[in-house]
Amino acid sequence: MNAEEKMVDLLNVAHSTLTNEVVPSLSKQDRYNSLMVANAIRIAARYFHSTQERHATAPANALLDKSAIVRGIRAGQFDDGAAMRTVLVANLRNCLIQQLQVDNPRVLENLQNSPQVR
Amino acid sequence: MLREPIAERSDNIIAGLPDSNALERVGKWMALHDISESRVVRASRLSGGAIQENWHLEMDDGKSYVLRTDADAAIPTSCTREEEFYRYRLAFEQGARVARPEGFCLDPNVIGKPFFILEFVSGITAGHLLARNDADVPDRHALASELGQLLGVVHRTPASHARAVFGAAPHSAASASIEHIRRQLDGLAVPHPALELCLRELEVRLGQATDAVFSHGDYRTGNYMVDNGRVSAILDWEFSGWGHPNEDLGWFTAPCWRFGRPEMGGGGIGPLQSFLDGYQEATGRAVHPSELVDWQALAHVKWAVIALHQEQRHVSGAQRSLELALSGRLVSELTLEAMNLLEIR
Repeated sequence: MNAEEKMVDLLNVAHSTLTNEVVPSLSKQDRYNSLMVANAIRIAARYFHSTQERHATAPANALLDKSAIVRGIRAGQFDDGAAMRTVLVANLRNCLIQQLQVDNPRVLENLQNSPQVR
Repeated sequence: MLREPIAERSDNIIAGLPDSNALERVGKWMALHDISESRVVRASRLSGGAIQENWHLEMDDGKSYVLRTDADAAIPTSCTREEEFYRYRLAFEQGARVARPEGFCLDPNVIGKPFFILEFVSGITAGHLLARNDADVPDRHALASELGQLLGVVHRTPASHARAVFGAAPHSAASASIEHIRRQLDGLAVPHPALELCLRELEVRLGQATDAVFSHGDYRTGNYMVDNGRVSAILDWEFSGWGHPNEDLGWFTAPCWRFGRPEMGGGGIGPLQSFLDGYQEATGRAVHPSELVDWQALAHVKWAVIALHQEQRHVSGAQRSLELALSGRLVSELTLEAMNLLEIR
């Protein structure tokens, strides 16, 4: 393991200890707080892991000047039918999917294949 | 947002009301205003949000009331307690199922800050319990239908009555809501193009909608109480005001407020159609589920922006809280779902 892998491993073992050895014996409120802590640890671990994976490639976010894009969106330059909309949408969805892989990967599959009317 | 059930006690201490004589002064004020002749014998803090404090007042004649006031933390609020009291009163007078508003006190000599008194109503608010426990909700069709009816009662308030509290209706309540969210986005340090794109799409699709009714503004599972399978009270009227009726309907039925029951389109607690049938009974207006999809997307955008502000409240140091910090981790899911609902692919 390199230094970063050890950090991810540290977070993973902290999460596992908390959820398997501490949480089962806790009261309702302590359990709620501890599960939030466990969730935060998992998110941080996934973030470090994804950062390691992305070292070789530029993050999708870096390709965007977000402020300029927001101005364009508000001015209607990316409305349905606009030439640049498809590229923007693909880029934005890609960024959200990358972020969701960190924040809550369990829901990712559902959202990538979500039907419209629910 | 992120409130815990209002009717569940978090502790039994009196700390928080300014001094030991405060309860006596509250009792005297209640007597003076014909709310109760009894003495306040006990006050216990009810769990709630960071913006308000709710106290359960127990009287020596066995009755109970709720005292609602500002929390001490300096957090900007959506309305003053006085404004909120008049919103409760408007809802109550229209026959909405809401705890009876008994009186408002502006006098700082009583507890040091404005407060109002509500009838005490008991029930379960926790969304995850209502969504999961059939013992708490034995008839899901009936509860969903009742919730639709109750919202309809609010929406059918005559415009003249709503005007007396909120002033003139905006030309387009939908546009006003979109513009409000945009201003909230402007208040964040980092731009959010995906949310902006959704908001622009919503502006194009909904911006011409001109209907406006007295809206609750935060009508969702978690903001009403259920007792014996029926709604005992609708809570938290601080965001109420003029709104397009579909905004409340979309907020209630949005996928983000189903508490782990995605198949229960009626707020996670019952079928969507039962909810809409109940709404039609009260208003005469039939709403097709497909009419609500854009409004559900608006709900997701709105919740995402609120979550970003909650995260910001933590990051800025105004209120350090793991729960607020984790709110920021909801944003990517909420945004992607909004894009899906709007078919932005």
